[in-house]
Amino acid sequence: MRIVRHLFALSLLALALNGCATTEVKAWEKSALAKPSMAFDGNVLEARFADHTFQSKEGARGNGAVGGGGCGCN
Amino acid sequence: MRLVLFAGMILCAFLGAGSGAQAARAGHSAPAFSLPSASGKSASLDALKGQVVLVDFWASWCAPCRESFPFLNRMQRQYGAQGLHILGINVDEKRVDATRFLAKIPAQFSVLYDAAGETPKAYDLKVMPSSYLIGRDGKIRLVHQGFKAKDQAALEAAIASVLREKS
Repeated sequence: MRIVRHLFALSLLALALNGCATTEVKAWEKSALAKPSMAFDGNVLEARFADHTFQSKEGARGNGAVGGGGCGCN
Repeated sequence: MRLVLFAGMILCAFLGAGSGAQAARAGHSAPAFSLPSASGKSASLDALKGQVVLVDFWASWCAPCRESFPFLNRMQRQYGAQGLHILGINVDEKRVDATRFLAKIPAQFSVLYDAAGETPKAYDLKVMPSSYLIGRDGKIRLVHQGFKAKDQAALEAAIASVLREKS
C-alpha cells in the first residue's frame, strides 16, 4: 500500500516537472523581461563602476564576463 | 525501486521539452501567413508571390529593432521598384506599444500585427529581431538574426542578389 502511495506522489511530481519543461519563454514573448526594471542592476554605469572596483580589489580581471588573466593588472 | 522511479520521472520531464515547430531555414519554403495591417485589411505572403519579400519580426521593446528601421526604410525606398516588399511583423502584445513606437520611428514599409505570436512560432523565431529574405519562388534565401549596424552591407548585398535572380 505504501509503495502505491509513493508511486502516486512521484507520478504527480513527474507531471509537475513536465510542466516546467514545456513552459519556455520564446523570443517574441520577452516584452516584460525587456523592461529596464527587470535588469539585475538598476543603473548600468553604476554597476560597471562597482564591477571595475570589485575586479581590481579581487585581482581577478575578467571574472564578470570573458576569460582573462588573474594578474590583477589594469 | 526508488531509483528507477526517479529515472523515469527525469525522463518524463525531458520528453516534454523536445517538441517544436520545424525550423524555417534557408532553402525551405517560407511558412504562409495572413495578418492584419493597422487599417484592419489583411495581407498574406501568398499574395506577394513573384516578389522578393523581406519578413522582419519586430517589437517596441526590442532595442536593435529601433536601429533596424532606418535601414529597412532605406531598403524599401531603394529596392521597392525592383520588386522588394518588406513586411514588418509586430509581435507586441499590446497594439498601443507598437503605435507609440511607430509614431517615433515611422515605418515606410508594410507593418502587420500578430499579437498572438502564431507567425513567429511558425517561423521558429530564436532571436528578436529576425528577418527572413524570401525569393520570388517563395523559398527562404537568408535568415538574419539580430541587427547590428555592421550587418547592413551584407544584408543589402543579399537583398540585391536575390532581386537579380531570374523569376
